[in-house]
Amino acid sequence: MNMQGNIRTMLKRRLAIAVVVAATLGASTGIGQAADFSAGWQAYQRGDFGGAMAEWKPLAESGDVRAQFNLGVMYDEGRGVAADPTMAISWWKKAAQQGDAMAQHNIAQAYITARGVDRNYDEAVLWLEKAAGQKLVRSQYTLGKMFGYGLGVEKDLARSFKWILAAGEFGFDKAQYNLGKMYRDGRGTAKNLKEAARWFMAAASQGYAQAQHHIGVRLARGEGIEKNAVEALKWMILSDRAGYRKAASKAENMRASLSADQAEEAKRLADSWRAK
Amino acid sequence: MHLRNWLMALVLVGLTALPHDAAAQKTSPDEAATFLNGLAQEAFAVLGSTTGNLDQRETKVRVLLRQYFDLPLIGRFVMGRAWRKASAEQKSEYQRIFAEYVLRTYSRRLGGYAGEKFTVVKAEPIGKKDAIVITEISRPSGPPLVAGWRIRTSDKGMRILDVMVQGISMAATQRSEFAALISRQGVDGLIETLRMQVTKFAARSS
Repeated sequence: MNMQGNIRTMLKRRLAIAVVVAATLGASTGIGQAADFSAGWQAYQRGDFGGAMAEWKPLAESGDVRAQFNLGVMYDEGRGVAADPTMAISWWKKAAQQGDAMAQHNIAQAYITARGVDRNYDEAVLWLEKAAGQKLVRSQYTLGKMFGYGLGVEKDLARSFKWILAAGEFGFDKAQYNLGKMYRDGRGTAKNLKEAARWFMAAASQGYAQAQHHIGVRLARGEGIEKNAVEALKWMILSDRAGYRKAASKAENMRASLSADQAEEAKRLADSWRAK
Repeated sequence: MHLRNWLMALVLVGLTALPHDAAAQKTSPDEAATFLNGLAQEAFAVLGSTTGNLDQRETKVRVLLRQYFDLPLIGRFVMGRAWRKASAEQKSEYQRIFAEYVLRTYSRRLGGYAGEKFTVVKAEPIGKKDAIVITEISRPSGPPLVAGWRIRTSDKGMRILDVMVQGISMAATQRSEFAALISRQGVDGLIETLRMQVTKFAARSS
């Protein structure tokens, strides 16, 4: 064989290998499946739930975790099918057993709220631990609450604090608000008013109405944070606007103790405030 | 359940003791039907539009419905006897989360998704001052969705007080479920359970 022939043979071989590799990669990364999943998602967004179900069901049956999870949601919420919480659990379990954290979380919630299964806090904790271990903040927070109430686990305020802290550090507003209360009351951790104010402020800055009220109170008293009557009124106004009932009367009282200019400044600050 | 059986079941639950409201006026069934039909058409217009994703459109529908559900009254009724002993903070947080929970649960019963057709089947008086409007949503997939909407006229206009599914009052069902939860876990436990319900993960794109 001459040199040209050798090169041609080598190129053919490389091309054949490339085709095989591409085909293998295509199969393992589910390029074909992704198109179907995406078509299902588009149908879902249009409100065509029957169309979404038709795309996702074969994928779910062949083991696609995303499709299994979404089918669970559709059965749970009754989208395109009659609501069937038991079927929802069945699909979520398939996804959860493959390690899907959101499915694990939803199953835990079903056990807590007795939807589609009998209430079982022990099972709920098992699933929450799996999801929380994957750093799913809602699960970390819920697990913290389970330890706080002693549901499915022995009541353990220190572990409750540990999980809620993990969720708070990831920026979960409800967890941050709870951390504020735990530091304020010395529950699960040593009492620390400075830390309480810091966490209330973190949740308030994300627009959490109760935390806005609580940081307003602390700013008015100078508790764990430097006293600032104008800032206090700003947060109380924001809390009231966000629908926290107790904030309206507190804001009114604060306004009465400020000058017109200070009250106006607080309102201006509230008007220009945006959630972080 | 067959529609006729469903209507008979309604007569039985018509006696469900929702709180009496001295300021309420007698509600005309025809006007209640017109009110609900108008509301459904608005929901259809939002959900059927191509603006934003599904979650954003559903959020808009919940904002719309919030005005027409008497959520404070429903919330108080559903919490039952525990309401009197709950602290102001518990009441406020409960009402906030309960409203979200109710709106998420009931908004889909009005329909408006692709291919759905909404029909008012019947409207009748119920109790002393309320009207019940029976609606049916036919869907391209799945059985038709029949619901009964209990409507009361207050000084603020017409408000939805309850939704009945298969002749069963959702408010009465929730009241009994909540009573069991409160007896086990207290009001804070009820609030946490509701919070968990509304923070379940929804369908996702990847």
